Amino acid sequence: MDYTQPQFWPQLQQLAATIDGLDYFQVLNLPSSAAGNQVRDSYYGLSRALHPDKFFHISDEATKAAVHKIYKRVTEAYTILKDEKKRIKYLADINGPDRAKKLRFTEESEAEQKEQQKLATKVAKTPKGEQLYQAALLDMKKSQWDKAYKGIQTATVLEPGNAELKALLADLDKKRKGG
Amino acid sequence: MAGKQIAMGIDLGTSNSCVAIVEDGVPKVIANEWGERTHASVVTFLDDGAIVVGNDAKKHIITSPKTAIYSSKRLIGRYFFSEEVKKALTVCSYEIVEGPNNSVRVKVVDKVYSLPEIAAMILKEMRAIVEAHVGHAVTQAVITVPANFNDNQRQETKNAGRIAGLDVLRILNEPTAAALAYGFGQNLNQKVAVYDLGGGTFDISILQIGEDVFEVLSTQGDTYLGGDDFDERIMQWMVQQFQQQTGIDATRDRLALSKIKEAAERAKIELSERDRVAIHIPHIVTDKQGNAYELDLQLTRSQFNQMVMDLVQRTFKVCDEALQSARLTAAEVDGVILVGGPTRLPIITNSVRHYFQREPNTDVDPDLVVALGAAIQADALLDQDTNTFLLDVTPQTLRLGTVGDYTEPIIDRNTSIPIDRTRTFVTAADNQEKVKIRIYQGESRKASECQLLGEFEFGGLRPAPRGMVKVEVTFEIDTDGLVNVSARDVETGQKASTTITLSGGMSETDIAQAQERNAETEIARGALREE
Repeated sequence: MDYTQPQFWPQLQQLAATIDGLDYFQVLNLPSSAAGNQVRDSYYGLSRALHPDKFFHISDEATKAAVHKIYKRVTEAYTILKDEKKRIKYLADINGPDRAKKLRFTEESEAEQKEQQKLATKVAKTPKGEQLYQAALLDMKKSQWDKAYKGIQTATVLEPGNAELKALLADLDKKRKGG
Repeated sequence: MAGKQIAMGIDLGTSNSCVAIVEDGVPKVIANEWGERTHASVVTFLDDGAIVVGNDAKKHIITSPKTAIYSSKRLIGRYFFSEEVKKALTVCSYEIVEGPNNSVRVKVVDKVYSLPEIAAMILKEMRAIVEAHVGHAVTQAVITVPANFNDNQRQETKNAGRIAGLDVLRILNEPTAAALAYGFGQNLNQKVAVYDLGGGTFDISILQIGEDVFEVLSTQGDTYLGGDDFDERIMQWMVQQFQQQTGIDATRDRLALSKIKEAAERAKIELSERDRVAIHIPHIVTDKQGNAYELDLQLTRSQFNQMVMDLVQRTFKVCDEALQSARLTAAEVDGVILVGGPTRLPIITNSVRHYFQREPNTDVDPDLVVALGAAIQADALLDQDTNTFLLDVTPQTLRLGTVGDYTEPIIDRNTSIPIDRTRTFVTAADNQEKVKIRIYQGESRKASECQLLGEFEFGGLRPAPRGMVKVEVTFEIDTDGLVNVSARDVETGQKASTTITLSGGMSETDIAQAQERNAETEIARGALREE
């Protein structure tokens, strides 16, 4: 089917508007058992039909925007499903209780939810250090460099071997001196 | 052909540029009036005010070292404090100065030019060559860039096109263009490696060609490695030999250095054909007493090979990474395409053959293949019946600055494009009005080791207690490989106003002014041919 023909444009706009409700297998028109070459074949097929380059000469902006939105999701679906590990994790995600929230690969959304804790556990290794680090983050957002510096200084006393805290301390020292 | 639009493909190279169009379904490189198909990427400002571009302009590097601008692609989209610019400051014979926001400018007598303005003059010449051939105005173009170019470099190349009055249909990766020229219309089903060693950059791309679909599986590059570096090795050796013979340091004399550079480049090219070359520069320097000195040396191919062996090996480290990323071994590659003049060097051809265990393809001319591919893509974009699909990837990881000197990845390198990713930010203070983020490209967790693309400020947030406003930021990489960032309030769906508060690139006002200046600039054509 040649989707560049105007009779298909409403259909494309409809798909773009509802694509957030589809999982990656649905985006690629594949059964959820699909893997490997099937994923690539579908990506190539959809590229032939819906690559924005095919619509380059069309002047209808709404259709162009719709195609762009759909095609970006096709690329995203391909990127996740061609990767064996990500595909397995994704299958579990969309068959779990949080399906609606996990239609787009959630390595990222999970990371987001946990961002605050993750940052802390990544940087500080003790509960007290973590607490000080959290407080310093808030101070930094308010540009209270002196306060943040003192907090991190205490944290480095608790964790003298922590290179990331040390680096942060040096940065904060520059900031509070107006660097 | 009447009524059919023409779009050109331009290979804007570090050393040479080339332009092609598709005529009657066949991609063709367009020669200038003198039959030249490649044109030195040199812009020379002559004393009488005339500006020349191309092979004529190159002849003036020696006589007008301060006003002949060469290898300017090495500087485009870079910050003034970058390593590349620091290096250029010591080796370039023309004057490089700092512009606003850490940008780079070139100073020619009393005028200052941005790098996109210099590139625009080369593009203007390419356009003139096509227009002279077809006999009417042509404004649409696809311009190629090294695959490993970051967003700043791509953006500034696109700006160069706009300054030259072009409608830039696409910024296309050079190795991808080469693969297209190689596989176009052949109905191939194979994996190919494109080994692209240009004047200033090295790229390797691994592609899966499935008939009309060209999918880039991975790309890897080094924007600090090219044929120029090979010349430089010969130059260093020449300077050293000369010093040993005469006790004179030729590097202190800019004119001598230009002569050495020219001789080194010629020797390198001649060594592709012969085992031994004579390098002779009469009158290289004159000492304080007025005595003239000449330089007379012999260079063998094996001596040269030794000088550059480490550079050659560096390219294969990059190949290793690209293959690993594509999850392939060198033996699984079905075809190897060589791109760029330096790949004519026997040391390169032999090493590539050895590495991939296969004879590199010789059907395509390494100097012309990129422009041909760009022309095919330009034509495909205009023609609704053409079916060629390029599925490219982003060469460098897109990153978000967090706290301290740290970043976290948003879109990994070698991800297929176009694509977007979103992140949600929550206000940290009561009635917070704006959110500021910095984005980078690079492979290090440390921001200082990545390239800063810009700082974005999203303003006009509704007043609310902290934590109550969620801002969803979308990071998009489009089909040009360019990064776009936008933000909206999750609850109201309202788009936030976006201001770029830090960027080394040109503003819209700068571009408009440069467009005017470029339109007024006349490039002298042929005036200097009578010799």
